[in-house]
Amino acid sequence: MITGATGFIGHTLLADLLRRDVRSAVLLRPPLDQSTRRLAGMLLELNIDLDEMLASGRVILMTGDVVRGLPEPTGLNIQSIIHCAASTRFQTDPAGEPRKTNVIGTLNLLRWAQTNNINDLHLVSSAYQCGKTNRPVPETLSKDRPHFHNPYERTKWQAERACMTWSHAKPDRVLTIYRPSIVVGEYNTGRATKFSGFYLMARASRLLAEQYDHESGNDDRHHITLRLRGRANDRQNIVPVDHVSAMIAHAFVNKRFHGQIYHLTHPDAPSNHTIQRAIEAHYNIAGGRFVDPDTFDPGVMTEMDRLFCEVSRPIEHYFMATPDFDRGLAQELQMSAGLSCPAYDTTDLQRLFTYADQHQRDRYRGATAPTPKVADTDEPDLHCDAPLYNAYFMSFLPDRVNRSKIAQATGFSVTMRFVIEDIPNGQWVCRFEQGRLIEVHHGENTFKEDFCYRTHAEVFWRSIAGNVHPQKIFLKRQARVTGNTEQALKMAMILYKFNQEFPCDRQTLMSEGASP
Amino acid sequence: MTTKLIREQVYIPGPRGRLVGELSYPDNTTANAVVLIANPHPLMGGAIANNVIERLAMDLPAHGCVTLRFDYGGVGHSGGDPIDVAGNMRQFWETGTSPADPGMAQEVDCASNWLRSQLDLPQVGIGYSFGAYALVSSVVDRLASLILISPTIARHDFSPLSAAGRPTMVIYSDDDFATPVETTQHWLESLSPPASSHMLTGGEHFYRGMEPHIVKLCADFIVQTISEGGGA
Ligand SMILES: NC(=O)c1ccc[n+]([C@@H]2O[C@H](COP(=O)([O-])OP(=O)(O)OC[C@H]3O[C@@H](n4cnc5c(N)ncnc54)[C@H](OP(=O)(O)O)[C@@H]3O)[C@@H](O)[C@H]2O)c1
Repeated sequence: MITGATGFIGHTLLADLLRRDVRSAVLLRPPLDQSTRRLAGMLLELNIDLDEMLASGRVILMTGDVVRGLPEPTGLNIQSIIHCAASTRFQTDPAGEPRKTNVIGTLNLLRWAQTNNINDLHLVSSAYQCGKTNRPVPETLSKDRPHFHNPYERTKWQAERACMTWSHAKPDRVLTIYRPSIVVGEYNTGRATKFSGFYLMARASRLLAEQYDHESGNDDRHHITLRLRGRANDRQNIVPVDHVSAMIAHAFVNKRFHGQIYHLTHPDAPSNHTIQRAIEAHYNIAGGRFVDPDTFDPGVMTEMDRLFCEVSRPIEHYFMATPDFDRGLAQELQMSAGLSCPAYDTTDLQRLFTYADQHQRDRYRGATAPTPKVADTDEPDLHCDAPLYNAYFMSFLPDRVNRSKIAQATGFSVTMRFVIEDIPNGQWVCRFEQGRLIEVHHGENTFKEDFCYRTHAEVFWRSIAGNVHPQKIFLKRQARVTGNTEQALKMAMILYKFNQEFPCDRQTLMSEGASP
Repeated sequence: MTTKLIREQVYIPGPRGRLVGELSYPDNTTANAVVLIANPHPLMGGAIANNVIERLAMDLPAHGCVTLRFDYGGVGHSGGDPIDVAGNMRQFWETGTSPADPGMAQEVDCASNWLRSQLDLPQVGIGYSFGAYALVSSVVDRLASLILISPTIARHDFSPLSAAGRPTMVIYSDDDFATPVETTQHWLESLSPPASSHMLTGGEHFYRGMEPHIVKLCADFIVQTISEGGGA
């Protein structure tokens, strides 16, 4: 049985297992039809037809949730569990993640294994369960509790301990642990289904490059005065998802590899400097430089420094002091599988960014690619901020519009809908009468709007900060308009002026009482 | 042989201050025509970085043209007070025209004169959206030929076009928010001398992704009209 099969690593691993003829029971979270559709779409991209697998009995679907409840495996002869489900958010959210899924969920799964007499457990953990350390990290369980960079690392460490305790309780129980480092898209194609962590820097650079794109004939893009906290020669330990998956699949089908811990890390990971070069070449910008965190003076941050710091804060520790992971066991496994962990030069890295950009673009073209649901990560600006969006529309906007010179001078009457597509329940209808905002409604409703702007969180924050012209966002397909396009474009100009008159960001909203 | 593009920032005296533009020309080919490109309305985001404007300016030189694009006064780096959105938007919201429109047409006139003072070549005008009106209302008599992309005929007066009798090509879309397709087609039928035309399906008003096709249509038209020696 495999958990987390709709995830980035999980679906790649399921495909590898099916290619090796491993019959698999797949735990999907309810609603089953939606999860099945997502999984089918992801597998199809890897040339696996889920319907065919279901028809031939090679895949059996089970519905459940490691936190909310696991199903009775009636009639199934489950012998092993691959536990790949997790919350990958680094910081604790109001719902109690990542602890809930990673610790409580794992304990539930262990109890379930015990009840159903399953003794072979494969845990997908993380190389960073080692926390902060400057010693080589062995492929064994750490005796002492490390100092962690974030709650995520702690929960992964706790899950390993829980599994180890379970395995020691009975002699016939076997535990195998896989510890990947930072998992990125397939090596040859860049294909990924999740673009957090490592991709955040590239994403911030893309935003920056787009600003320069609008200023043609401008050479400033090659003289950016951006300082990045980190050391140029430190490495970011990225590994391609296909390598991680192939390693796990190989260990899984070869019993002699069971019962060990494997660091699925890169033996020769690219340096920050190489990654920076790749990003700059890819987005045609130049001038960023790493500044040693010990000498970095946060007191003299430019606007751009601040933007990058904000975007990269959750992953900042990956830019420095990457631990040195022992790989003896992983090396044996790798040799037995006939695999090697491919090296990254700037071209290889650029494939990752190209795929990520393409994926981003498709989202705005409404492409029907089977995009996985929004991943549970802590990209700093998105989902955990849900109340801030509401504060903007329900409180900031009404207050400021009614004081705005541009709104009053224009005196427009219009009903518009904003949809922020990657925010749960992210839509608001605003009704303006003669330049005054007289009604705002949150959530789906039947109001008849004159036009609707659809965009996503990242673009929303850029717009309301007054940094970018909404019409440019539209022309660059980062937002879509439905309804009366002409009014929408005119309104975009008014909003641009309004955003300059009253720029807003998270801090402003929080200082006015909203909490993320 | 690939054509190397030279891009030169230029300053044009305008009624509200100097207009900042960009002259683009081929390095190793002789130019046969100069192309004056007029932007859409600034209240609709009209600027030299517009997708259609930029592609035309950068790609036509490979077809033997010198191109000039510039920002209207108060837009981008051009001089003059920034466009008064508050003052213009009330009328613009209602009618799609603004009190600033005649001033911008005058700036097109200045750009055309400046171009003529610099280069003794047949001048072709390309106006996109409001820019089509700005061209027709100010410099139509001086142009060898004209290309109008999504002309705002439902809003502005295009009558000088017929009177001037210049070879004209019109590019429009079947789903343009600014002008219903029937209105454009009816207007095309009424033109004398007739204009050649191309309807781009699904171009909306923005022609995103269709820029190379537009460049090709314009290049062919320019080559043809210049070789026929039409116009002034
Ligand atoms: N990605 C990396 O860079 C990386 C690096 C090192 C280690 N890892 C580890 O590798 C594993 C997989 O990571 P990933 O990147 O593939 O994660 P992911 O894309 O975020 O996928 C997480 C998976 O877990 C499932 N899940 C979450 N909560 C669940 C619950 N309560 N019950 C059942 N299923 C639940 C999700 O199901 P839904 O689709 O229904 O939400 C999804 O299938 C995790 O253990 C992670 O800690 C990842």
